[in-house]
Amino acid sequence: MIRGQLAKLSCAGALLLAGAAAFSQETLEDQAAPDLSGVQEALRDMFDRVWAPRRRYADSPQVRALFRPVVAEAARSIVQVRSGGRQVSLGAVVGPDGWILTKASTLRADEAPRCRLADGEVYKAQVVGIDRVYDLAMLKIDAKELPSLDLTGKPAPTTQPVAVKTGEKEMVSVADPPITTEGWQVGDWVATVGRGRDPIAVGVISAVARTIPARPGFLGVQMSRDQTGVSKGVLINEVLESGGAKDAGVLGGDIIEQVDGEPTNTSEELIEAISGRSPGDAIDLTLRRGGSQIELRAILSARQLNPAQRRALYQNRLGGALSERRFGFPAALQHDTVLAPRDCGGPLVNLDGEVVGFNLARAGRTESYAAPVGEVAARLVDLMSGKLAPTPRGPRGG
Amino acid sequence: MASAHAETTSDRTLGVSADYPPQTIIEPLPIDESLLRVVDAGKPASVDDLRAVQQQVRRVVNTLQKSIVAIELNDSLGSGVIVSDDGLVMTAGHVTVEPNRPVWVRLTDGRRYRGRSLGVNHYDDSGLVKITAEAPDDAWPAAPLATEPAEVGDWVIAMGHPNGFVDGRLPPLRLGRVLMREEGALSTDATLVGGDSGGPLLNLRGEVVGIHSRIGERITSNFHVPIEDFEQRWERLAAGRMTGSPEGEDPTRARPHVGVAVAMKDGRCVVTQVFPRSPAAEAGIRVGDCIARIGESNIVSVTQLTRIMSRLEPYERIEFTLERDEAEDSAPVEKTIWLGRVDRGFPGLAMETPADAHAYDGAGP
Repeated sequence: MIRGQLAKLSCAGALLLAGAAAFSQETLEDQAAPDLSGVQEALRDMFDRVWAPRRRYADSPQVRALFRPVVAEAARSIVQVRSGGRQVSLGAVVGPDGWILTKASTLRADEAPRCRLADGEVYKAQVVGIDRVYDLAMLKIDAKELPSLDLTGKPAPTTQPVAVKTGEKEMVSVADPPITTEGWQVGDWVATVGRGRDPIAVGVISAVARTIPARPGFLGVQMSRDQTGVSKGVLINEVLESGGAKDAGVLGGDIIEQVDGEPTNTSEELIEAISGRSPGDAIDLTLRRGGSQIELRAILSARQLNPAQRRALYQNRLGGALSERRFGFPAALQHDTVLAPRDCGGPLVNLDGEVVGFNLARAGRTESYAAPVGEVAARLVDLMSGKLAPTPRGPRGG
Repeated sequence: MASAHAETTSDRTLGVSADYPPQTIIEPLPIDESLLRVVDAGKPASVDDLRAVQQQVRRVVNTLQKSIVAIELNDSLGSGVIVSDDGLVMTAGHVTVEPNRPVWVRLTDGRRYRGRSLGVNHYDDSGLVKITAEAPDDAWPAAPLATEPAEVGDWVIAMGHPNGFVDGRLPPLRLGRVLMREEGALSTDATLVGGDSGGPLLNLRGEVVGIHSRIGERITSNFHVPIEDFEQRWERLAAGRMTGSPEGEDPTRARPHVGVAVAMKDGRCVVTQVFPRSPAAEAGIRVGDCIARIGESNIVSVTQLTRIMSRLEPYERIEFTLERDEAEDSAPVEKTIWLGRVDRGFPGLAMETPADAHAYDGAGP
């Protein structure tokens, strides 16, 4: 991307400034009086290149340092969740006997996640519960008497969340009133707690909790029309370029026998298994290839975008990566904190040090989402009880 | 739902007042002692200071949120802020692109109201819209405008409709600080994205200090049109004029557009055709009208009419004095035309017979 290119902010008309000449070196060094528009372009290019000192930012190191007393308590419970040798999310100890809450979709299938606690100790963890609705995972480590967040007594949501509907339409209109929780308002400071003294980042609440519509998750396989000779499973004849299947390693000729442990013997069953899942969701595929059975994990992607959607996605990605699983939450509190996807999954606190939510996703250039703490608290028991245990997986014969 | 009546001539915002600043409903908010100390020091120094900022931000949002609008055209979505009690809305130039286009203005309660785009400045990226529908409570919730420009280090609040209007979502708030200020641009770390164009940047008093325009690669590259630019360009913006031209267009090819064909008959210039949805049609010119004067000049030939038109600019307003043979004592009819714009190569209609008929559309000889 050419440095200095600026994107205009109207939706359908969002365009990059055209023409490299407008902000190349020639314009700035041109001795002849450039026309007014050229000067404006040059000034804007200069802004993009000239660096403003970090202390001038709203989320400056100086401002973050002021939050130390605010986050100190919660920071004792923060966990760094690691998978594949690097941090994939943050989490928090929610029960002193080693119960850790974090994001589900960022965990890798093929290895047990590792948790680095606030005191620096690293533990191997077992995944004991997955809540697909809020993309939460409950981990268990072998430890006792850990400092933990007390989420009991958190206010329950004041309205019932609606069942999230998946549709082809992008912006599904939401009829229910926004869900509000007492104790915070739009404009309030929120700090994303990290393992250090300072918060990872700070921002303000942008909008009260509302339902984030789901988008259909896309696997990206073409099922063969001719399924004769296939007694079990669905034969795939082509794997599409975009879509989770390609990255997962699915090949043409594979037969998908199960999705998340459930048999899929017809194309309808396969479609049914995928529908209702969100981009960013991980699904476990059981395939037969040649004579062997193979287990693969695929992360669903979003559907093919039209030009306006592609432009919107491009702009939303300017300035930082987005979380894959950022659609389909019954209630999400929106805040303007700039977060990396790997810094999601942990708690968000207000100026009084109270946990107001758990970061779900970096959802756009201007927005991060957090699950209201009441929603999360209401799910803890199920997550710990084994009721939401992930389907058992393991290598099978062949 | 929105008022759906057909637009009358008076709706088309002929004669918009050019007074600056316009009359607003909402007063700038006061700033408490505790916050003043933070503002003077330039930065918060304690949790109490953060709390003072937070309290004021809550007030600004609660008071000003209702002034934020979404602006919808058939090929563009953006935001705006109501700045006068009679329905003037500030927005970005690249949202409306051209004057005199119908727009929908959507308030935070979701209701849409009809409006028209007024002036556009493609250098600054400033634009103005007028809501032509009637205000539900006799006056639109208009935000105050800052009289002092924002300075580096000021705390600012950005609102708008990022990614388009969302049912059940009030315009989200982003807090930032002014990073740089140079003539023609204001940059802050209040994050913006497509759909925010035209929305307001507010100071801690809730006054508009800028209008969102562009973003860069970096998350801290967010650019706004400073309010001083709107003040400087106000007369032309309110008059519905275009300054500069839309991206990708050749400004030298633009010509003023009326939308009539005329022929000389017995020494009079008679309208033989009125193009549908043209400025002439909107003004109410009819076939058979005789164009007696344009501005101060009496029309005696088509050549002269052409010469007069060639001196006018697209989007100028000009008075046509017409003679209409309706009654014995028919007085001349005055029509104000808000000229449109055509590309020089616009072909116009096929020639009328008789041989001295000319299609006039500003294309020139």
